[in-house]
Amino acid sequence: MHLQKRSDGAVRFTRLNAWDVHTFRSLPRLADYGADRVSEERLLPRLAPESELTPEMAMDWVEYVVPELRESFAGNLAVVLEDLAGLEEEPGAAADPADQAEGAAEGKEGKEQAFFALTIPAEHVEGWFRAMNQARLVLSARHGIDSEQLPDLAHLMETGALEYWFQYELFVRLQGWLVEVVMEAG
Amino acid sequence: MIPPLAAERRWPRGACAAALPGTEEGTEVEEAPESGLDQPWHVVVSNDPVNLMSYVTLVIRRIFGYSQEKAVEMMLQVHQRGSCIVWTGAREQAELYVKQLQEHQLLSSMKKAG
Repeated sequence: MHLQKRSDGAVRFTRLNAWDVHTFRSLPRLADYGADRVSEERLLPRLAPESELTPEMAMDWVEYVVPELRESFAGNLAVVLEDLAGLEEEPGAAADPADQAEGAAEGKEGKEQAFFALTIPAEHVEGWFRAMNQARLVLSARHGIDSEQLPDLAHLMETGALEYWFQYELFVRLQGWLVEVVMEAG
Repeated sequence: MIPPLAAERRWPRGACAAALPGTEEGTEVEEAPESGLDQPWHVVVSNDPVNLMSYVTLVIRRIFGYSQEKAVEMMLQVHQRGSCIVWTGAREQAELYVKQLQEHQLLSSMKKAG
């Protein structure tokens, strides 16, 4: 995967391989916090300790603010899906030496690996960032993966969740780069 | 539609730190209305093992309009001490800030000052 920041503030991903595309397309599923209580509580934490909230404050928060937060999170994922609809295949892209070596190791020598490219408009960059962040928060809540310690890899393998760790780590790298892009843009 | 990062309105900055009991040094304090019906609230960002330090800094800087140095200082306090009071002031504004922080998926809440 190659990353490029354009002068208009857009970013372009090129040489995306099949797994990269699969991971991007999985973002809405990975970021789905509705499937378990822990994820939902992390994405929608309380406004304040219960002892400090009046019933009116608590009710207003749940009735008015929480739906707006849900809408905002859904909006980020909609941005991702919108941009993924413009995914382009890179025709005739010759695999770089590292990819060729990897292909040869997997017995795929001679087969051309497909690559894809994706452009994210400047106004969508933060939506992508937040969608990836949401996915990482859910993966953390659901599978115990985080950025401060190595996960229990044996457990992740046993439970079929090892791929989630790779996806989490990919998002960390991409987010770090996207933050730099946003900060440079001011 | 992606919500804007910048705070929609800015309140005049008030005195800092020791003016309010329970306020940590370096915390931005804005003067609450003298209505008698409202007391100051702290906006608190708590640590989590997922959000990137650079992102926490960016969000604090842009929502509250703090300098890069101040935002980094607050982010480090979140990271090292587990939480940081990032703003203190009137309840309604505190609620708006918490909402903005949660929109950016920072673990945040408010609590009564003092």
